[in-house]
Amino acid sequence: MSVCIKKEQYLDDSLTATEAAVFKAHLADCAECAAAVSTYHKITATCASIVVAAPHLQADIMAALPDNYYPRFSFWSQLLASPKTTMVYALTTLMLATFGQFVRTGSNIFTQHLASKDNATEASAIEVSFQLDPTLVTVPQVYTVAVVGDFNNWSSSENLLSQKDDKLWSLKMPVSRGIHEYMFVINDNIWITDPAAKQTKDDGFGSKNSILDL
Amino acid sequence: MAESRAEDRQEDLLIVQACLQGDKNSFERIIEKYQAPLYNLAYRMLRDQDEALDIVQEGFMRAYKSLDGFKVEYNFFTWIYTITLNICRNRLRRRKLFSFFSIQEYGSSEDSYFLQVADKGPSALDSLIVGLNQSKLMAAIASLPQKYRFVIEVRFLDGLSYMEIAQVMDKPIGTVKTQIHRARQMLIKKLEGKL
Repeated sequence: MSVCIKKEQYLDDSLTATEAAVFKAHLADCAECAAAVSTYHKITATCASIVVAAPHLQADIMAALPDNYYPRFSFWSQLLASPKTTMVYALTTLMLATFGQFVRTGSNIFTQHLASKDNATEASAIEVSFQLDPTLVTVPQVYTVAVVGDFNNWSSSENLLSQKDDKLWSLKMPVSRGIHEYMFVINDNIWITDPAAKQTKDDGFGSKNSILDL
Repeated sequence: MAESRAEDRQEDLLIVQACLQGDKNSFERIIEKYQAPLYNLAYRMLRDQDEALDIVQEGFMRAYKSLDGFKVEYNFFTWIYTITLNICRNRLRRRKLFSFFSIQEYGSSEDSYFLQVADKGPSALDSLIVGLNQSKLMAAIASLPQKYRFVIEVRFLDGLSYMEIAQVMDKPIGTVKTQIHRARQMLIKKLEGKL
């Protein structure tokens, strides 16, 4: 029985050579352990037989990479990297400017409609203060923190928290009334539940979303 | 697999350094090494070959563009695996957000899982047996509670080490070990005498 408890370590391959030899000898006497070990070996063999036919992506990805290295989110470098991008930025700016002009000079009805819609949105939104204490997370060095949730389409680039005096990371932003799910994204790749959230919910990926009830 | 990745760590760091110095072609080796596990992950989560391809491409592109933020203490594979996992999560969340119809939850059905029998057996009968075992295994994994299903797939199908899983999930290694031990016990119990 005392040897049976070594089964998990044996399956993890974390026993010393002597301990593993003792456990192997034990298998001859313990049908339960022998069956479990045998099944486990069949499981690992079956896993190994599952071949994923991953297509060769090198050529496509290499062709899509920029010729020179441009750091992420560097607006000017991306702008200069491609004439197409420059064109898109120019057209977007022109459209926004035209639309802005139209809103300013458009009919009263249209302007009033926009105004009433703005008031309604403001009335139904509440300013929420998101805060993260970096000492409560296991990430050794926190460089960036973003709040992502159903209110910003789970985008990790829209709502970044800022840090004051090497302490709390915080952000105040309006969020519409209702029940929302959200998480914090640290360093652009580590998703965590808000350690201060009073309510959480399974996110379907093995983690929990924090709940914001407004 | 995890051990060989640990040995590759130094090579990855050299490649990152070369890319940052303008040697774009050295990134090809990174793609060659990691495209299979990343595609496997994306396909398993999205169940759509085209979308999985798209996600893997986006993952590599994002990683390449973020190389200046890569720290020496990181494990490159864990880093790009996490990036890809987060893209998958975002896509699934958007699917939920924009669909009027119920979307099949991640891992809720075993029959849609993409299986391909390895070309190792000498006969059709061997291949058939392997295929049957794969189906039984995937059905058993699909029947596990969600938190166990994820760790078992990442561990046994993608071959991540405990440490790598802990980094990807941002959980203590002890928690990951406990989850995998429990998941493994459940899986063994479900499959005993059936493979």
